[in-house]
Amino acid sequence: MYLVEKPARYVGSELNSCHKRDPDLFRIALAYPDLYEIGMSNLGLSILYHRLNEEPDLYCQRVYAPAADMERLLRAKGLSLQTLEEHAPLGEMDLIGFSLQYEMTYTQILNMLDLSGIPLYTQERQSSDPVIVAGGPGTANPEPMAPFFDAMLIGDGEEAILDIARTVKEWKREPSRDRGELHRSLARIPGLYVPSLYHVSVDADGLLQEVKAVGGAPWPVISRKVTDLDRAFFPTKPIVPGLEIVHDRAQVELFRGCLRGCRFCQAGIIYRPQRIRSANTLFLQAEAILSNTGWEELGLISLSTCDYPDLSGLLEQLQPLQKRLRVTVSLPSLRADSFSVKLARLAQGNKITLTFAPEAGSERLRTIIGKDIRDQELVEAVQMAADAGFQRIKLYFMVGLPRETQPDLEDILPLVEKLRAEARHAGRRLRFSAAVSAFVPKAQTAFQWEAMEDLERIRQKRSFLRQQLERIGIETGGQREELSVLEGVLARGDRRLAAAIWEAWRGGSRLDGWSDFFSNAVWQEAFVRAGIDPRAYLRARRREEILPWNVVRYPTGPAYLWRERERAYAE
Amino acid sequence: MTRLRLLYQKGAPIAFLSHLDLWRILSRLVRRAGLPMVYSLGFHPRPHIAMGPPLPVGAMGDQEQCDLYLEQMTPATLVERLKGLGPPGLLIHSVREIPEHEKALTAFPFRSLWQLEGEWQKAPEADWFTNVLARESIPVHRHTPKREKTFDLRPYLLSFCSGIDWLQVETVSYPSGGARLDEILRLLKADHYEFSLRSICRKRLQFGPAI
Repeated sequence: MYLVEKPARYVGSELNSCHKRDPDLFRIALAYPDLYEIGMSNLGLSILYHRLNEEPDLYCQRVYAPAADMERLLRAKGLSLQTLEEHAPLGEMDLIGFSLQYEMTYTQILNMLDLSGIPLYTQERQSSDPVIVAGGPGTANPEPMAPFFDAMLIGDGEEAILDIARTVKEWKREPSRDRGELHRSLARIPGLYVPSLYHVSVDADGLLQEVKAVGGAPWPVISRKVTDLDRAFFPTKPIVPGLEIVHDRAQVELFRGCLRGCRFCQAGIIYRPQRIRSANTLFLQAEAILSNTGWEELGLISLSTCDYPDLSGLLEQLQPLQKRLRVTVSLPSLRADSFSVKLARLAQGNKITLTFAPEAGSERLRTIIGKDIRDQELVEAVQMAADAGFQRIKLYFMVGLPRETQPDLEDILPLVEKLRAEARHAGRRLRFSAAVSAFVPKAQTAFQWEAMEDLERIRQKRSFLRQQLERIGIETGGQREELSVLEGVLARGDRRLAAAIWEAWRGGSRLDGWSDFFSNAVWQEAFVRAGIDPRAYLRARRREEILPWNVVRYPTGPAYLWRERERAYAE
Repeated sequence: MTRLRLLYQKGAPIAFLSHLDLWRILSRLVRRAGLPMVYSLGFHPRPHIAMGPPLPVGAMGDQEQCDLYLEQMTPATLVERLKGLGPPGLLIHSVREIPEHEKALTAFPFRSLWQLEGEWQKAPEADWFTNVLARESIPVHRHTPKREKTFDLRPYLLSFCSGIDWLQVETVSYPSGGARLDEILRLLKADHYEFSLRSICRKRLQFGPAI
């Protein structure tokens, strides 16, 4: 432990973590393919952890990705990756659930399996090996990682995870323990996609020809939804880490799903329909969480916080609690209008930074992508932020959007200049920064059929904008273009990509989301070795084409998405 | 205002937390207990907790101290209120009241008795320690963020000795600095006495100059 950086990542024993002693319990590990500080901030994982541990016969533990120094140490000493609770080798678990939050963590999943001595491909695993499942937004296109999982959950996890645990537990009691049998039982659970039960064939041009469900597996797999969020389980005694994590605060979930209808947004589709938690429940949960943890900040979490039906009412209700417990309330995911800023000021007092995502420079393009914010609203939001005493405004823009033209790009600079001038006019010096990243057409969105722009064009557009903005003294950032393109490939890929992910892992790809660890060369080499042309995945798709992620179905469905796409072209 | 001094143990589960992490743990503990703490003003109110001399990351401490500033409370009530609130690894031994204007816990000098457990690849003989302590100066290299310098450990080293699987060191810290444990281990290593560390614990912390 004295040999690695931040050993507290691997110690466990935090306040409110669960420790059970009975050796006969069914053991589950929730695995997060990123560092402790990132994984511990994930609300979904916290919900599942505490839900599972409510069951007396189940013991849920956690494991996070080891940093590079820890990985070296484990490999040098021939040690397995261990859970935080029992410090038991991961291979001794009955069931392991990985969280797919972001495409660039996929190689880390393989790494964590390998560090635990668990065969990576499902078909190589024996009956004594743990059952490996996945969930999270990444399963909106499960295909690139499909060969590595026994089952993948589409949709909400808090009810389905119990069905999975019980099914695997039953299977473990059977003398034969045939994995095929297990797969057929898992496929009967609503929302569960069992990759081994879907046979994929490809035509001479390399396009998907047919995906056939066998063994009674459903087609398509309908996403699982919690219907009544107000009654759904929510942990009021969550783990409080000793080490400072990314979102080191109490969190309550105001609602799930977002009805804004931004056409590029995957979360806006896959978390539908919108389900709301009542202000009363939220108040009680907030009070319980704060007094069980001692956190000094309460985050009101959702995809678009200002769309909560009575946010001012809720904030008012929370005020006495805020005063009594001396906590601050934070409102992430704000819409860029003055109403939101006003609420933010009310809730937070003096916060330093406000983040707005206009996404595009012109109103025209914003209408096309379904981000309905007018320039005037942005101006008012900035004025309000300046008055409220905020110090920094961070703006998010995308390049390579469908129907984007040069004038759309050229509109970004004057917009930023105008916003800055407004802030100065209000007598405040607000510091502006802008993140410019490439648009990635994601599965299950209205733009899933669009082509992703190629690397060179993205590079040109980004550097054009960054130079323009930096010339007037605005700090710029955003995702590296190679990383965006790779994200596009992985987000739009099919099962054949698994071979390239495996090669990239073998070539040393780890924690690619951290730009200091990312090596594009490793990935390009991996594509060559796997015999895959990554550019093929970035092309536009025809409507009648079989998309790799067609097997997964959300309430909106492809007909709705296509209509939305047509509307984008008619705007 | 009441100033109450906590004598507590930083145990194995929290040994790898930093001094700042430990402050955060204590501040969340008093929040959970709902104590009438004196809070800082502003939008991010913080309870007034004054920490004692920091422990290095990775070290446990048997007799650590910190001061809580409360509106009003007796030591006995505080003990009662903190009972069972955790976190694992934090054990409160005792609480006593301290005059408000008494010297801070960070006042120099203070003495620390360190117990290091582990394994000797080769253990030093008893007279090695006597010889080192007999030296007039013990220069070591010290890296600071800005530069590298030579630092004399001798004034800060009070005593040390070893056993079959342990090493004990007593150090004293002044405003001018103190001896660091990794420097002492390097000193041993320079004479080919290598010690692989399993745990570090400050067994005792005392204020005032060496007697």
